[in-house]
Amino acid sequence: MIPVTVVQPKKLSGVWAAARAAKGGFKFLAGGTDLVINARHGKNAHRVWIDISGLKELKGITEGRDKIRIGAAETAAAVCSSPAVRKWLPALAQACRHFASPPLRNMATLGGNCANASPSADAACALCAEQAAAVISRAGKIRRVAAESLFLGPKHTALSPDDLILAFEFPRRAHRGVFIKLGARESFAISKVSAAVAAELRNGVVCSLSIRLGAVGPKIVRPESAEKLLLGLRPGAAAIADAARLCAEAVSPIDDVRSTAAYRRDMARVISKRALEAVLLKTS
Amino acid sequence: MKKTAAPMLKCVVNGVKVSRAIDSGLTLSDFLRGELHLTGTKTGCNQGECGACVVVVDGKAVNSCLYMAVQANGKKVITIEGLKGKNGDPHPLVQAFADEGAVQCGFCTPGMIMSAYALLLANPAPSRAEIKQALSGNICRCTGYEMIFSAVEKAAGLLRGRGGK
Repeated sequence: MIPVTVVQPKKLSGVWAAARAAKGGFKFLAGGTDLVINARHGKNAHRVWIDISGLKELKGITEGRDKIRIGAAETAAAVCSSPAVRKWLPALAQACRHFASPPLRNMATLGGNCANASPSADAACALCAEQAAAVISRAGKIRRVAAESLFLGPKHTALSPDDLILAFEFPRRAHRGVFIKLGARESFAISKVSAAVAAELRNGVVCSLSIRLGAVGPKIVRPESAEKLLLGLRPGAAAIADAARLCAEAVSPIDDVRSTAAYRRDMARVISKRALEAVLLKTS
Repeated sequence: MKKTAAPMLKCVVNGVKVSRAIDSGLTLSDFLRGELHLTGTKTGCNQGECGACVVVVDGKAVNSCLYMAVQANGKKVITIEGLKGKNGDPHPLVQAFADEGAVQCGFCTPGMIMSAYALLLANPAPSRAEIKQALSGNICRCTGYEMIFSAVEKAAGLLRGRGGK
């Protein structure tokens, strides 16, 4: 048993009342796939969890005229099986398909992956490449910020404890995207290195490009020099190889249980190259 | 902190309505094993790595060690004890695991079968690759994976033969 009281507001408005009532502080419970593990390891400073996993205000994947909206409590499994996500957010769909294991994908949520702020979070890496805005509510007051701006460092976000991510919104734009990860195994492995790339091409010329690398720095890395190099080009293999080298220069990996800094840096180049080739050289 | 009244958990477990006051700090695996005495669901790592605790909630496989019991409110939970065949026979998945020698120590078996059950609900004719993918969150330390994959293929055939279920 976990020493915690779980409260379950029926509606979003009930969340704020529950938050005010939790005098000793609280955490939001979504999929629980990080929170429950941390609590078992004694890393739970909060005696109250507010369960937001069933709130309909945090559900739904909708395709609007100019944006795609994904409720923050949608699971990785729901995100990667959504036709709208597959069509409009290919890098995110692929990240959610390769994330953790099948039962964990049925639990873990997009909002939780973001709020947990692991530098190796696959969905969070793809969210940044796909230019997600996070819709955040604090006591009912809503604001929109770039999802990328939430990440400050490992497990450290710009969110205050009573900030609740309601949804992510994305520009609806036809583009190419890919997510590639390198783990110890093909399935069920935390990334040693990951890359998410989203690009728009017009007549073969790169007119927008976002590259993001996961697990190779304190937060998700944006190799801006590599983006700038390819922008406006009709890239071939040589330009992509140069950009991949710039990606490897942009990372600041560490040695840890999963890998070494040197291997991660070299693989950042290899994985970036593969991701850029997949997005920029495919003919269709 | 002031102790509030124990919340009610109302759900359906293996086709039976359950309604009781529980401690909200219980995980679903704690609740199934400790309160309902459904000990077929195993807890191995207790951190979502091994898959021994997998049960099916509203048609989806979940790690019951990380799923808070109160999150099952209003939902349908199926555990290994809930899988039944026709006329008191074992469920085709259970029979196929026995026939194919897919059980060695047996500790991973309930989780394997429940992950396979969720797969077959969504995809009655999976390829071997899809079976491997669906079972990728379940670890067998006796490492009899090939027999397990064969058992799921066989059960899928048996279930299709009798029109699902």
